[in-house]
Amino acid sequence: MIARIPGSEFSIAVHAEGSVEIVAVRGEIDLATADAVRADLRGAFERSESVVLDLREVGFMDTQGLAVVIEAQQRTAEGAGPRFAITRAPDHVHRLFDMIGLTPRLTIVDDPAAAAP
Amino acid sequence: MSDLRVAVSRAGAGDDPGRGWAAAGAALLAIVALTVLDASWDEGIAATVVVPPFVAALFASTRQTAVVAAAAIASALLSGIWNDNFADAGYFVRAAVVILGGIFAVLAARTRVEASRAEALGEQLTAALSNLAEAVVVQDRDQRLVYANDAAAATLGFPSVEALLGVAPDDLTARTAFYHEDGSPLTPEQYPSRLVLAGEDVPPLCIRAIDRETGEERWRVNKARGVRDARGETRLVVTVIDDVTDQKRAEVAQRILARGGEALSSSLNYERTLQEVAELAVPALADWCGVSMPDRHGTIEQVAVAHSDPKKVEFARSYSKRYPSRTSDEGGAAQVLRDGASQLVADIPDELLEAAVEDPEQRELLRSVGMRSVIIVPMTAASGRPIGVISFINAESGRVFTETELELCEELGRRAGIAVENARLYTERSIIAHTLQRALLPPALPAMPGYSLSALYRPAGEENWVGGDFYDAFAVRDGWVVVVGDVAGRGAKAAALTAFTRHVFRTAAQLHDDPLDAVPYLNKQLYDRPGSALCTVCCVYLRARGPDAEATVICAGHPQPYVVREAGDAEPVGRWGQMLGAWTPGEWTRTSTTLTPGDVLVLYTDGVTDAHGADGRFGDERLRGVLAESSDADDALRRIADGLADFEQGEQADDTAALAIARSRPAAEASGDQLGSAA
Repeated sequence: MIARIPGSEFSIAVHAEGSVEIVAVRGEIDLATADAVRADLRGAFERSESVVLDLREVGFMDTQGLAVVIEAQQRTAEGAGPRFAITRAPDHVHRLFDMIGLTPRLTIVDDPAAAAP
Repeated sequence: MSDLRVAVSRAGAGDDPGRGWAAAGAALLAIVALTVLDASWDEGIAATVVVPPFVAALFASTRQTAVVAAAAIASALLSGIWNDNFADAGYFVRAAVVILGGIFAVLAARTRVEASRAEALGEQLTAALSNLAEAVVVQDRDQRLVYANDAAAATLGFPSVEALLGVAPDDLTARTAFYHEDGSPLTPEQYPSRLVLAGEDVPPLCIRAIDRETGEERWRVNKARGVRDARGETRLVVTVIDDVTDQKRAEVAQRILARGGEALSSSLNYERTLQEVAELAVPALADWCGVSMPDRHGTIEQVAVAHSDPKKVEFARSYSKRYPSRTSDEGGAAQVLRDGASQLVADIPDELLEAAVEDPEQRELLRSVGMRSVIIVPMTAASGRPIGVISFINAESGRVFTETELELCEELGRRAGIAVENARLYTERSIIAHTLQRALLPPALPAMPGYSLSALYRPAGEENWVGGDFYDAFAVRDGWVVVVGDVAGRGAKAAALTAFTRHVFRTAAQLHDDPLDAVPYLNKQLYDRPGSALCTVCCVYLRARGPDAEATVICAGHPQPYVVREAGDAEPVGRWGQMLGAWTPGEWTRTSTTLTPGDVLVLYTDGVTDAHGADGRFGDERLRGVLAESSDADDALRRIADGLADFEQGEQADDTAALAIARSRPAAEASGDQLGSAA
């Protein structure tokens, strides 16, 4: 029942680039879609030690969406854990990462494939 | 149908052809014999050959008779040779007699053959009609039955065709009550046979027929056609009657269950829903339908009642008010409620009424209803516990309930029971949710002497559990703390986290020497909680500084608050800091600003800026725009509410919370500061 902005179709594409799992999200990550992104990220972490969340096509995120990214980031916080990176979201979304103090704790890449070890 | 055609074509063959040939052969032999006799005798007896054609006409076909007649005529014409009397008048007379006789014989044969053919056809048709599964009756101009087949006798409830044909037309209609499909009575003027006799074309008509004596209900489709004579006048009416009782009952049952199910699942307002269900049952299933449920005090309350006549509904309502039944009553609804077994009284004897109702006045009222047949079924919850009863009553229609209806009624009771139970559970849960939600919000904003404070809170969705947004305002040792926060997650888990966050923050702020130390403390508490416990807050520590106030702001993953100074533009205050519960340790920048009287500080959650409308998100710029020139706390929030109302399209997607605070004008402040420091 979440109203959606017209033209903001949501989709998640998951594919592997070498040993890197890439989860590419398109649309908005909010209350309605956060669980789907969370589930795909969890699946990616089960398959690979390196996961990239491609946010280039994400037009909006709310607290629920930010929580998904933080949870993924926290998996890598213990040092020995898996590697996690994002491809930079559009500025107005990336601004949220700055706002919550997430940016300095993230590995940000330009090309998802470049995250490969 | 092909059988019928074969039968008819056989009928066209007329009599046994063997007998016809025998008769024709005998007649021919007779002609030969008479001719020989005529030739050997002096006296001419040629005229006697006229007899064999008539004999042939009695038994043989038209053609055979014609052959015999031709032979007779030939014999008569040729008799002049051996009688040598061509010139005699007697010859001509005899020849003429035989010729005319022959023609008559042929005509007679044809008439006889046709008549026998028609008779055979009639017999075959009658036999065919008798064997038809469809009931067929034929009425004459006076509506008397002149023909009925076996199926008709069976359909109309007679042991034999003879019994049916022996009944006078008036008696026939008197023993049955006819209704239209919609339950309205079918008047004699509307009988299809009458309309056909009046020369009208009548489409097939579905009729509900109720035997007045047995109360048996049958559904029939009557198709009536007129049989016209040569002058175009309707002489007979042929009516084909289809007994569609089984289909109709299945249809009614299906409709009631389907529409009832729809109604029951459509709304959580079960009293209205039960009324809809009751209305579905009348008049197709019963004349009356009522739903009753016990209340806490043991009174069985009528929650729904339906009858096609509104006056009777009124009657039922006032009756149940005047004579309320109680769960302790014997028999009836109370009994069904107690043991959960349905009751079917097919034909209510008057003694039952006498025994069940003591008050003569009440008995008289009940008697006036003319109840004939009743079904009471329990409405059972999923556990099987009866939570109410549905009563179905037949009165004026004279119908008598059978096991078939009982099954349908019981099914309806089961479905209604589950729906009512669900609605009740939902309502209860909804009340619990709202109670918890209220508990999670400050019951009311505290009176903050020296400040004016205003709050806006809109959880997303009417029946939503508490959203993740919260606000609080409380006194600390030397001032006040106001906070707005947003907890990640949804449903009960988020609500629990919201409560935790708000109370930890409040307690920590009140116990720490520096109330804003509550921020790192809360961060640690959230971080240490098992699972993900993330939250953003914006908090402001307010201290009086003479007529002004010093506001120290911390943003932890939260949008900066805006300050509107002297009704000017809205400017953000504070620095971004990390979200709470994600990482530890953490540092948060404190930003202080002075609020002079007339300045308004506005804290909000992203529900405001993320609200969407035709032009995308509400956004920071729009928020700054509506806040500009805010004159006080109330005004600022009214501007936000109005701005969102104008902007938003569709359903509100996210919780929205906002808090506005302003330093009061000095006049109202002096006593306030004392109170503030006392707290």
